[in-house]
Amino acid sequence: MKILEVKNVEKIYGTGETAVKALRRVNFSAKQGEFIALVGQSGSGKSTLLNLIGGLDIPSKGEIYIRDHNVAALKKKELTIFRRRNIGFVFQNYSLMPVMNVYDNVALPVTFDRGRRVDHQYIEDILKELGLWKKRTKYPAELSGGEQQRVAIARALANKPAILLADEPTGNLDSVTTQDVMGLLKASGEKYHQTILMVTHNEALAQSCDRVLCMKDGQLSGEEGTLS
Amino acid sequence: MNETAAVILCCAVCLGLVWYYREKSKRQYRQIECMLDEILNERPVSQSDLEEGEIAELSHKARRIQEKLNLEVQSARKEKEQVKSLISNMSHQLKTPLSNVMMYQEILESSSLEEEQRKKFLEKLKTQSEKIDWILQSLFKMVNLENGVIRVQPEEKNIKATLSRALSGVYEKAQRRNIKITTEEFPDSTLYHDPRWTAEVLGNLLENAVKYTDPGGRIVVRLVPYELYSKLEIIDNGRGIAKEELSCIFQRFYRSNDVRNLEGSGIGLYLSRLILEKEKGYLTVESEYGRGSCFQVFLQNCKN
Repeated sequence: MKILEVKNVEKIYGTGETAVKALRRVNFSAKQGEFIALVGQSGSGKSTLLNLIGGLDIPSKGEIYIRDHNVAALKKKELTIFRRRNIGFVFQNYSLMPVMNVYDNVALPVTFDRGRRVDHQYIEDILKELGLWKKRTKYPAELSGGEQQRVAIARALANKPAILLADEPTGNLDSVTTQDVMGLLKASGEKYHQTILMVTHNEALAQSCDRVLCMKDGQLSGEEGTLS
Repeated sequence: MNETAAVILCCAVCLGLVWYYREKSKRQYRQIECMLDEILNERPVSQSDLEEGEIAELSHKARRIQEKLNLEVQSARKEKEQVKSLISNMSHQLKTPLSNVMMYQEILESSSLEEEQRKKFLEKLKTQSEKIDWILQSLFKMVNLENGVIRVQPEEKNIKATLSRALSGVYEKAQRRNIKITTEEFPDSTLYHDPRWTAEVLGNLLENAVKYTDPGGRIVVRLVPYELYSKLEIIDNGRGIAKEELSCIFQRFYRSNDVRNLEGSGIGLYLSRLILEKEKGYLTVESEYGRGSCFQVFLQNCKN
């Protein structure tokens, strides 16, 4: 089932002579449960694309459908709610709340939604799955980089999002922890039927995904390893 | 007089509030009922899920339930297709050795053969029967694993014992092909795995390495421990895998065109991945065409 569809998306920053075309006619779609790697050089538009899909920015042209909603056409208020319920973000620099412990950090996005019960059993499940249950009362500063990133992944999963967007999730980690984080991303994606879109510089990491999308000068230049 | 008026006003306000909340809960009830009807009738949920509040949240969950139902229906359909292709593949896989068996049998039936030749054909007949047996066995394993008849029961067990079990299975074959298998020194470690099935995985990978490496080649086995996972690498300098085939080789019954003439069922790697999935591990491959492959088995160090 198609969960994400990007149709003829363009993004232009600035106007007139200073206009920069960050994305040009980008088309692709993702099925539920797919793990897709987005590779390309710096400035090729990977992060721009990720921000558009995540609803953090609005495309200049084109449509982005997630779960049959056209993200590009939503009002600002709707977009916030949509993002909260459907999209999980994992950033390179973890972005955890330093004053909250691991458990509260993970439960945080759920508490933002009014009229929503916090599913403690589910949070316990993901914390156990990611090997963080014993550290649930620790604060981010007391954790290693790999552990902090695991907390960030748990937090992204807490809302049961349709799509998990990861912007260089292993960029700050050494190669040993990178393997760990990748393994967990894969395992949790499979367990919770999550579609994962990951931006990465690391060729070897990209290889272990279901599909690799290659970006060049704001365009998708090629696709490898398409799983049938 | 004033008091009476105040009391009456109070009552009116209260009644008004009661009426308002009753109407509100009635409306909410109708909305929920409408949503449930839509799920039952497989129509898209019309209630918006992009607003604040309880109903929108419920609408969001209703949509998720619909998605899940759809997904399950689809996967059931896919499964049906797979069973069909399984049957056609199976008959295809068995056809060649079976027709060989029949041919040898016919030859053997003609009495004009000398004792020497007779022995030769009997030997060939035996190899082909063994091949059929082997294919059927891997099929059984696969079907049983998929259906959950065979349970993979991972425990914290020593990996060295499992590895040596797998190594002893291919040692003779490797020697016959003059391929050297070296295991790099590694510390004793307990990993979360089922020794019997993990030995099967490692055996499969080692057997592949031996099969697809030319005589005189070498195979290196080593273990690299990480924080959560440990990586077991099986590196060969054999024929390697073309880049565009890397993601296909784990599919059921996939056989590269390059190795059509070599024996194999296209089940081994699929089976391996299935087993590792059940152990919460995973399998990746790096390869350079013509220069060799490196299969990496990831197993969890411990469970918390």
